[in-house]
Amino acid sequence: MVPPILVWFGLFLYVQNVDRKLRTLESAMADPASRSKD
Amino acid sequence: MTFARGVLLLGMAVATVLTFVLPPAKGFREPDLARIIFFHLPCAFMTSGLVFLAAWQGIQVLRTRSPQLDVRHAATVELGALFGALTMATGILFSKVQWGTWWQSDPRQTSFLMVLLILAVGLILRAAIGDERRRAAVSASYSVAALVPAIYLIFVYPRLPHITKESFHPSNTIAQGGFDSAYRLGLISVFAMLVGLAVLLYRMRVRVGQLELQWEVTNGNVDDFGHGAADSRLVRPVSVRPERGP
Repeated sequence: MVPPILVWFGLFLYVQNVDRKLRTLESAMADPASRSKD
Repeated sequence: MTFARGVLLLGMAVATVLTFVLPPAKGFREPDLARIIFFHLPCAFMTSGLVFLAAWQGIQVLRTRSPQLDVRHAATVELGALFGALTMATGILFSKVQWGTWWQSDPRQTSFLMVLLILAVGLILRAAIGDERRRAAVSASYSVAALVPAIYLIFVYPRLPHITKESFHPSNTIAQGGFDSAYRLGLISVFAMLVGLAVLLYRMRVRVGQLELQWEVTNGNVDDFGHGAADSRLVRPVSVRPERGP
């Protein structure tokens, strides 16, 4: 049971990470004024 | 895109169930636990494919110096390291259940560890260089250069006669028919799902890179989005000697 959980969970974590970055960037591009750079 | 994700999720579930339903593979010390190979082998195939793809994209980046191609190259490098780590993790589990120890120091295990280190250095290199152009050139050169040791460590070294004799790795069991057609079906199913997932991840990662490029063009540095680049700001020395009075 461990190997499939390990593989799918590992890939799921990566998906989550990339998806979070994607959402952050998309919202920042849509409304640049709402995000301060520093 | 949502439909594709749904199909992929369903396919992953079906493939995972299939790996548990199929009969145990004969020819292994623990036939029932040899099912780990359903996940280990496709991950290893993916890693090898991504190493080749990274080298090919590296050549393209060096030829064109295109930031768009560098984004694609970066996505491939990341995915290669991810699948390499998964191959190693499942291999260590296989070692424990079939050979009785987490780390056997088997030639195949050790050679793949070296491949994983090569992939990890590729990631570190990208994270360490702040200047985009230099990062693209160095990373692309590294991917091209890394192909030679990777080919040796993945395809040549484990097949040397004296290494094959010493190794516990079940390459021979697989080659000599340790897997029947049902097992092959399980392997192909998981491999197909991993390819589908890798394509999805690659597209997402490329989209992130493209947005970062756009952001940099319009707003400057993008380090606060976790791009991984080192801080390239300069700190100039300032004299702090007190001024002398008259």
